[in-house]
Amino acid sequence: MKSNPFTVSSPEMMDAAEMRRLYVPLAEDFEIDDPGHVFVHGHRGCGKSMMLRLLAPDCKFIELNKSLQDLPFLGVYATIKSTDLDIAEFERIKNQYAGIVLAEHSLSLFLASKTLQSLRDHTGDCLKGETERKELDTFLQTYVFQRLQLSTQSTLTEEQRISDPLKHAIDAIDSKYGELIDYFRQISLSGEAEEYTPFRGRVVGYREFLFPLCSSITKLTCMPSGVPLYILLDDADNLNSLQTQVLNTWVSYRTGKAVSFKISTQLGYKHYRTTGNQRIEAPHDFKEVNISTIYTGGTSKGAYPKWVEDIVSKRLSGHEISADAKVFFPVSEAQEKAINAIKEKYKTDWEESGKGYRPSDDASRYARPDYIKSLVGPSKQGSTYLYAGFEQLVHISSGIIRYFLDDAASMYAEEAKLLQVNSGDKNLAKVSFIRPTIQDQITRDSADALMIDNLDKLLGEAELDLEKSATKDDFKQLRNLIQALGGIFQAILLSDRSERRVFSIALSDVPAEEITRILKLGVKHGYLYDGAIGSKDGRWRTRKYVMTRRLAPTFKLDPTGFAGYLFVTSDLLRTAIQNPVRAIREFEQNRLGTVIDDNQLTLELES
Amino acid sequence: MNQKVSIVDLEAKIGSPISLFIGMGSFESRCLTILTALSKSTKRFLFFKNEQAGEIADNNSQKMMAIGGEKATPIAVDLDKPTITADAFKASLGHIKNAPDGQVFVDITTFTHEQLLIFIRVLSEAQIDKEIIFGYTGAEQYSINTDPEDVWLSKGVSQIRSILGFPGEFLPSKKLHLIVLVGFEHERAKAVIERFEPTVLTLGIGEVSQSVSAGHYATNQKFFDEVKRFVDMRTSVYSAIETFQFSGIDPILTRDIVLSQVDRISGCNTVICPMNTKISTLGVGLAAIKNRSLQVCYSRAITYNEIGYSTPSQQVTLFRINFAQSAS
Repeated sequence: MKSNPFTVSSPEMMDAAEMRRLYVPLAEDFEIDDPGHVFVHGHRGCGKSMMLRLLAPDCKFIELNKSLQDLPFLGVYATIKSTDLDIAEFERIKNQYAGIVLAEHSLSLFLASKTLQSLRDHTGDCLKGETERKELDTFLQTYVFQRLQLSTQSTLTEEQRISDPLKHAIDAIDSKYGELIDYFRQISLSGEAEEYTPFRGRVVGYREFLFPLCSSITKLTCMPSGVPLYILLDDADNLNSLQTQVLNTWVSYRTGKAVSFKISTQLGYKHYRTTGNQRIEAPHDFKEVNISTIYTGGTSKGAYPKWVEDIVSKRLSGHEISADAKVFFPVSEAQEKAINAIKEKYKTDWEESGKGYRPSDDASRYARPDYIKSLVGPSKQGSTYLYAGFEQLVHISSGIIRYFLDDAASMYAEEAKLLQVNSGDKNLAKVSFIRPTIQDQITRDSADALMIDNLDKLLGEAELDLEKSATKDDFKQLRNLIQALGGIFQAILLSDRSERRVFSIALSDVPAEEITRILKLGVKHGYLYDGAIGSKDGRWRTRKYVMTRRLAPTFKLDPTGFAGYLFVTSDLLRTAIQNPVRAIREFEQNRLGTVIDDNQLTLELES
Repeated sequence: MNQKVSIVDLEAKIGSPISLFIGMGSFESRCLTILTALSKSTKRFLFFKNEQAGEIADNNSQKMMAIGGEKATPIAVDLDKPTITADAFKASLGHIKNAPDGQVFVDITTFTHEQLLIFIRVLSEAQIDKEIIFGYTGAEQYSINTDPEDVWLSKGVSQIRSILGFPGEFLPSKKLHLIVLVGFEHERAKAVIERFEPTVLTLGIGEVSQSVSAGHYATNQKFFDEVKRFVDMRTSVYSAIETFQFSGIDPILTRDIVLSQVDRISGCNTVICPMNTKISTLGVGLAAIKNRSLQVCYSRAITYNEIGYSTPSQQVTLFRINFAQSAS
């Protein structure tokens, strides 16, 4: 264990005890543990892998305090790494049909092996008794060896086989998989002019191999009876296009009551076409969960901050640091004092000039924006607003726990480094809190990385034609749009409007395709979150887009709440994606757009 | 056995005429260094040129063709389509096999890591019973258009892919062992580590006595430390993080060191990402040819510091390999 309490670990590598030690139940019940296929989408680090890994038996034992036979389902965890399945040699398969057959063969074997390995790794001692091993051996003879037309008789005695039947079956599947890789190696350098060499081994697929294996395993007496098996497929973005087609086809079979796929993606899933070029769709074929969207929606009010607080407390106490989250990430006292003074003034003035229903309404609504305004407006005081304090950091993480933890890890490392330098002690000093200036600096660095480095990267990628879904111009327009929105939100914060904490827009008309495309691009790359709200007149639902609060430092915004959202027209957005400066100017001059209060969008901290 | 030769002594050191010179056009002027030195004693030239090359690389390719004149043949390769590149390399085999008496010289300096590996895989597959001379011009200085603290060679990672011809022997049930030969492009190294999330991670750094220069070693050490710090901070439960030293100037030494590193960790699928000198990349390729269970991967950068990537040194490293004799 390293000394930084905020280091991020891959759930794949964690045992159940470690999972439980670090895990804090998610704020939302996503109901992914019901039978049926599910796609869980979310940005990198939002907790998808953790969510899937927790459905494996070893974690369910601890969570439910039940034995294997009493579990409500049998989860098998399978993660896909970058080049596990998607190897360069696939490009050599010219014939589309052959490509699909081999993609299905590779995916079937891969998941069969992973399924058995997961059972071996995640069921504790439940399958190690002699009776269980014998039963498993008979089962695997039928569902693995016979179906792959393999025989173990020649190489293993019955005693050897029964000693670890899962391992022998895994080895057999792996060996079949190895044949396929050998074939790929063989064709890797076969050029266009050469005769195509077909794969001559036996190929298997879902219907005749993977599904019978997975659906029958729960019929064993050592397994939970009559429950579905869930294949917990992590990082399905790493499948190539053909393998994606194959997986989509399996989803389309709707075998969810017996075998369900719980598939996580980092918003980069290739497509939803089957091998027959049909499209699978939610909710018809599968349920779809977008974690990022849910955390910025109304139902999570207060839940996400509480979740982060629990995670921080758990991690700190695991490192013998006895501080709660708010003490460990303190606010700048001088700054809060100044803001509190403004609050008191609002409360005092409320009877004469108050706008809200209660004195505290005006105080919480205007004090922080006023303070920021005093630093960036014409009467600026020369100091800088500090993005520090647990509450602000939670808001800035925008519902993605990884963003919070990554920044926290950097802050911790920086604080420790400073303590070492100051004390002259080469050992890692124990950190009891992170000073506000360090919190602020790391938060600003992350905002710069997102607004400058990441957009440069996306632009470069598009320029090289490596990003197929968008052009360089699209990314330029996205940068313009974000600059315009940030600038407009800043203008609102500095204005005298009744609601100044705005981070989101809603569409008052139906935007043209070219505008929608850029908005969607923003969602895909984590600059915006989308959802729906009631239209201004309440007659229908319309699209809303929330800008990530990670950019609050870039635009000098108050991240602690976005109590209002701005209804905008397509005309303003069209100007924004072409010329952000003009959009901001027109917005200010003409007071375009209407800010509607809506506490539905507020992420509140529980006090 | 490798040897370091001053560029002015190169022609004399090689001695007999070169029947075929093979080079790769690049935005780095280093693609011209050896070519210029050997042009008079070379009978034929084969120049690869990437389809996606920018203006600077195009200009350098034109200079290469001008040096080769009528004796030069251009062959197009593709940075994003490894199969096209492999086919182009295969097409060049005839030139190598049919080269008139004399020696075949390959200047590996400006091949991309991926293309270099595909090329040696093609050579290895062809089993040409001929000793091929490989040459590499080190860089005098990298990132010449920036301050020392802002050194950059490439930015971003657009894609991480396995290298054609090196698929490894991945077994689905096994955990992942990632070996990264860290170079100057530390951001790419971090991206590879983050993308793979390996169970076991081995980080390699060029040994000081086996580095192109003392200055490069110091820079490499700085970036290695940065990658190591990143790993320490971002991940807490890699079951093992190992470090090792390899040679940046001797491919056979690197091959043997890499193979021994692979043997240290059993029961894993192993992926190697070579990101240091082309010579060490060649060593990784030789290791993966010898132990085919190794997968080699490449991280494609989004953009390169084309204007100030490097300046050529006046030293060339030479070594000879006969692929029919398994490069042993």
